[in-house]
Amino acid sequence: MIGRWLAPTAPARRLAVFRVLVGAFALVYLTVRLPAFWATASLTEGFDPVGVLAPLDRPLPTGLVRALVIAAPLLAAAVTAGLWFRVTGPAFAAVLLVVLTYRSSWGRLLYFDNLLVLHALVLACSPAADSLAVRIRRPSPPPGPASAPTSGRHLGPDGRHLGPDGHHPAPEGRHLGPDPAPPTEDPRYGWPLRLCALVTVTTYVLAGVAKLRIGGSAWLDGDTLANHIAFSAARLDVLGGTPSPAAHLVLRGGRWLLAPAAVATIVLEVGAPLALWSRLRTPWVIGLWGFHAAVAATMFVLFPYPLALVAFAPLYRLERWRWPGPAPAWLTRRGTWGPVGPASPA
Amino acid sequence: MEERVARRPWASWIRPAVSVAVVALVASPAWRQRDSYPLSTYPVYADARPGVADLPTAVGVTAAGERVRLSPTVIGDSDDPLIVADRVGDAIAGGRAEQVCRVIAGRAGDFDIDTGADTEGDAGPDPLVAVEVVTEETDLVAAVVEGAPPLARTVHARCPVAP
Repeated sequence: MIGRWLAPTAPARRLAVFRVLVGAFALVYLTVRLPAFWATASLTEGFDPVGVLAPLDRPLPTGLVRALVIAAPLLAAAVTAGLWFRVTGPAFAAVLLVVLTYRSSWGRLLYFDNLLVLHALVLACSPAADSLAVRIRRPSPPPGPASAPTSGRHLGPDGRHLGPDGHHPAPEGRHLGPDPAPPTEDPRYGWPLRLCALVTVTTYVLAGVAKLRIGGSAWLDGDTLANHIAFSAARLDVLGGTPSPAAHLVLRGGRWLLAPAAVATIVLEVGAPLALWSRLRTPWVIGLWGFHAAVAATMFVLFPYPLALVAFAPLYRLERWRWPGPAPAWLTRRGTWGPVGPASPA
Repeated sequence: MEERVARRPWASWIRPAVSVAVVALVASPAWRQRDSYPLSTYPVYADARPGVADLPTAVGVTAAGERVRLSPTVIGDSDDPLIVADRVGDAIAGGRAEQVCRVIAGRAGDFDIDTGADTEGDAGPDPLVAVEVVTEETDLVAAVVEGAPPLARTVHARCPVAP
């Protein structure tokens, strides 16, 4: 029973859509923040390695850091496309882990992208490119005995290649747009998604527990939240920045909101496992998204992964989402976008 | 599916076992009380922050003795206030306030008080004559809502700005 709940069946497309979302988010994030990651290559003082880099006793070579910073978005693009995923998936997760860990290895741990790394690591170990993946077409072999398959591992009874679900892939030219056949459901695809969902809710539970453990009941009365908002604004002001107008508005006329907001935050975080129950999933996501949006508006502190809703995506049946229009022309020229398996014989 | 399970009997228990192990790993910082990356206790904004706080920064001083705010780029050579705050705070805590003050003064020569911009040589009608690395004891809500001045200001270093 618990085994089936932890590893439910799901279509390959559901996991693949999540892979596309994570990859696309990482591609944008790593590209936009590239100057910040690039700058870590030239830092020399205050090196305090954490996580997988903890064994280091000196900063990484500048050239290596810059190579990793460049490689990360390129690998994110490959993961988004599902290109050579068995190699690019693990490589992307490893490079992302190192680049983001290195940025947190200079005296200040940053919490904006922990979930992104954890989800990438889970995806790297999954068959997330069994659907919605670009496949580079190989030249058609000439007819005759030389073109016969050399391996029987993916052959059906009729001698044709089989796709990842044990079915024949659709003929060439039918891979674009919606999948050509209803996807087969399998725990292989549902398990990584359930695991990512569990990781998401676990991190929120930890955040809620930390507030109760460190802040105690004082966190619930609203004054602590007011002081956090005011601290962010005042710090920005003394450093010559521009504090959020929303912080001024809330602290001047909306302080009555802060006590219920603090209680709601703790309830949402500690009660995060309730999001695994489908009836409470969307209210929980809306509440958490609202919390992150309020933090961004009043404190100018962005948690982009949950704000982009990708953090919550594994809670949903993503295969219901469809490409809004015809597939881009470049896909039709350079590869296919659909179930991936060995090419069927010409 | 049943055929697959029959062919891979390990799958019926290995997946739940791995799931439990991964969730335990993600949750483990909570009982180890050790924050790291990406496994974290997520303590951000978890403390019961008091209403008064010490804010480290650097300010410009004009010929008339007026204290003016500098920009994050002038103070910390970054547009990220978290990084700038850390650099100034770490310098004060590490006894390097004088050293950091001279570096900031080197960048402050071209700072325009009116626009808050780097003017590349034209520092405006009332140029800065000095930079101070300070800690400002601040009533947080009063500072934001009423623009209240610091309750106290501790000067850790003062250095001249080259004309």
